[in-house]
Amino acid sequence: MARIVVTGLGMISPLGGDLSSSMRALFEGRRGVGPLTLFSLPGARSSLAAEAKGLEQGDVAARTDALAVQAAREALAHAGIRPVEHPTHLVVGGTTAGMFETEELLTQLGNVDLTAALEVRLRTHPLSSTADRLSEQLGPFAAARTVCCACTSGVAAIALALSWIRTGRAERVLAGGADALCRLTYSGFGCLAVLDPAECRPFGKDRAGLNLGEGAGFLVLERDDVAAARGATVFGEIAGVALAGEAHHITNPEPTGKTAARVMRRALESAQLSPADVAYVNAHGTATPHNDAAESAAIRACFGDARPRVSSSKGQIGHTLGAAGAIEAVICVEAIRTRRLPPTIGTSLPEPSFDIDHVWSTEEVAAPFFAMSNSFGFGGTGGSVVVAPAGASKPVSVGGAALVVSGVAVVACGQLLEGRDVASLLATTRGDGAAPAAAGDPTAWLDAGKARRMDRAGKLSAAVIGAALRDADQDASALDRTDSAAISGTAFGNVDGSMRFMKRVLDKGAAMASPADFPNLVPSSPVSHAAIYWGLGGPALATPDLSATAEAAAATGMDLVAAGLSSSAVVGSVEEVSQLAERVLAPLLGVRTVAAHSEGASALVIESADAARARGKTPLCRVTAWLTARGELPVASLPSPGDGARVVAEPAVDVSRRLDSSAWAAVPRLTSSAAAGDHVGLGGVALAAAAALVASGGAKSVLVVGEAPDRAYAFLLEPCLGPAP
Amino acid sequence: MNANEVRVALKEVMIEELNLAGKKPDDIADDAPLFGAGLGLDSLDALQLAMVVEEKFAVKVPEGAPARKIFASVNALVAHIVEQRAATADKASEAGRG
Repeated sequence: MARIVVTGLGMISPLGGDLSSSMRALFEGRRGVGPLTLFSLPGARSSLAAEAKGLEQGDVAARTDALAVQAAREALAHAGIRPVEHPTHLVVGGTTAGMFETEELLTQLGNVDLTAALEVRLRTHPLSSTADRLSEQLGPFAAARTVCCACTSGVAAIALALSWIRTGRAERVLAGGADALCRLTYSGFGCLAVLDPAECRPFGKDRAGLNLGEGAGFLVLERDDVAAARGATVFGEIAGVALAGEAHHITNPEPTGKTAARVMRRALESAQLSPADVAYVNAHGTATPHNDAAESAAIRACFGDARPRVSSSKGQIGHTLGAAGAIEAVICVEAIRTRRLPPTIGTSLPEPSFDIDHVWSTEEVAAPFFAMSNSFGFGGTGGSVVVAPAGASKPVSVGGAALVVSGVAVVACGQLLEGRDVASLLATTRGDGAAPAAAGDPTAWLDAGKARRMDRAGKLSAAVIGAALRDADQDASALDRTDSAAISGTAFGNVDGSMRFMKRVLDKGAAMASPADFPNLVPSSPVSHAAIYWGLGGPALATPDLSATAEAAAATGMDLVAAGLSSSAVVGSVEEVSQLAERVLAPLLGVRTVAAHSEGASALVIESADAARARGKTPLCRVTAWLTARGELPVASLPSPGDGARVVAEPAVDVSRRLDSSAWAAVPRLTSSAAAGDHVGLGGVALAAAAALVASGGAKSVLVVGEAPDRAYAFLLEPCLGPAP
Repeated sequence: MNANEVRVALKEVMIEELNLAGKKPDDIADDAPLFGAGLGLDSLDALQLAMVVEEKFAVKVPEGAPARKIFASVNALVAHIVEQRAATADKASEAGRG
């Protein structure tokens, strides 16, 4: 049995450059909102922003990454942790990474000579940049993961940390979120008419939108026995967490707040608490008309007569997007530790129909209390964290559910394949990379009306996820989608879309930014569209990790399902043809250059063996191990390969180096690139094909290996143990 | 541009900008509601439509309650565009005289 304790906190916010200055100003009721100075943006809806204070950027190229490094360094020091001595996993949530440094540059590529300085800037563009800078500056970390769940990213990072510790995969995790202001999000939120040109008024009758902010929050989370063994001070505990998706609309919250209420209830279940146990809720409370109405309805629905005190920190720190969930979890830990409730600032005229018990100025509390922090975001994603005083959370047993793959599908070379047919993509030959680029319109696989908001990546995602779900439902009771996560790799995000959006903003002014295009620039957008299309009620996440992005998605889904945070997860990747990504970013980041432009997508349905059995499903295979690492893979932990074992890895993977210390190095190798074309998300195709190969009896076990510079993943797939009853 | 020309151009803009794939200008009724039951458009489409109307017709669509009336139907939106363009032209010619 174990508890998850918080032994270190770090924060940089619009109120201050560190935890103590930020928290002091927060409890004093100060506002960090002021004139926007970071950039000028003609035609913008607002001229206010909550800019971070006290940032010492040093030699970190991107502002987001520097915010993250500053807060994470503080959290590690606060905990007395040096990752080189105390093995630590890292998980970071965010939405922008180096967007601020690259958004103008993207529009000029082709017209400017790439100097070394510009190359350093461009390297910060992928969302995995933040985790990479943290690894360079503060690591080495045992493993590192990047998660994007729109404005719920910070909570998603905490959820993944909790899943790692609860399943025994990690004993210590540095978890947090970071996002800097940039022109793209500023003009994007502006064109959606959700930026208030004045200071925001959370839960106000006259509320008119949010103020954008920036910052970073990090927490060092440890299993309690590990923290105790090193004599660490415990500042609070993470008692429980939940993630969910509304499957409703790409930007608008579902007005009754029923999914928001569900995510709060599930966070309480995860913490083994009842509504009456929670005294304080740090609301998402962005001050947009829609959010505050839906969230207050959800708080009433979840808590009923328990009526916790509620405040939003957004009037003081603005909406810090991917950092918000982490920063506000840090605020909850500090509120509990110092027994104070932080206020809602800026609202003079509360909306009476919301009927929640506000905190308008900092209040002292006599007794220890539990707190909840909420985050909601584009795509209808939501997350809640329950924070407990030291020693107060309910211990949980450490361990994870056994997992199976119950459905697979891929889009390769313009074909949509599902089930065992996917195994046909595997060959012993490496191919010459000359497989044709995909052609045709993926709308053909979808209802065109329902898919009209989707860009190409969204359509590819929806098509492949739909096919994998169909495969999972075949010859069995249908998979329960109410809690299914959708997790997709995307190495570089929507680079071309961001470039076009910014070109329009720079050429025509921020007032001409496209409201229809902006939501599709969030890295989790393709998978959010797919989740909405197919009614998946779990979180929609993107997991950028360069050319191991599909592997990161698969591992993330396995982590969440093994920990019971999602009942099932559809995992994979989607990659479009992009000259910018393949010809400019990939070489700069040391990612293999793709031989021929291809696009592709993949999806695997992961569920617990028990859940598959309960619905009478014979899965394709079991997932008996998944390894993730910075540096060398711990292959010694794998069982020896038997007869009929295979390794599946794409040609660029240096298998002999990865598996050198293991008997797996001598196992025959298969690859999918000859038949599936080549793109940086090909690891998802390899995984789906490997699962299909095991299902069709073509291999007794398969080790799928994927890698990118400084990171590697391996997955062991084995046949199911006899037929389902 | 007279009202008919604006109507034709507006419907083409709507099909393109709101990704009404498979729809032709004739499929969009002049007096049917744009939002909800009619074409099935929502508030995100309204924002996109307001932006492109400003870009293509140089006419601003106000936010909030007035927008609801202007976006009631294609006809209502055409009337707003024609009226605003006439007002702008009047102002320009007055300025020219001054």
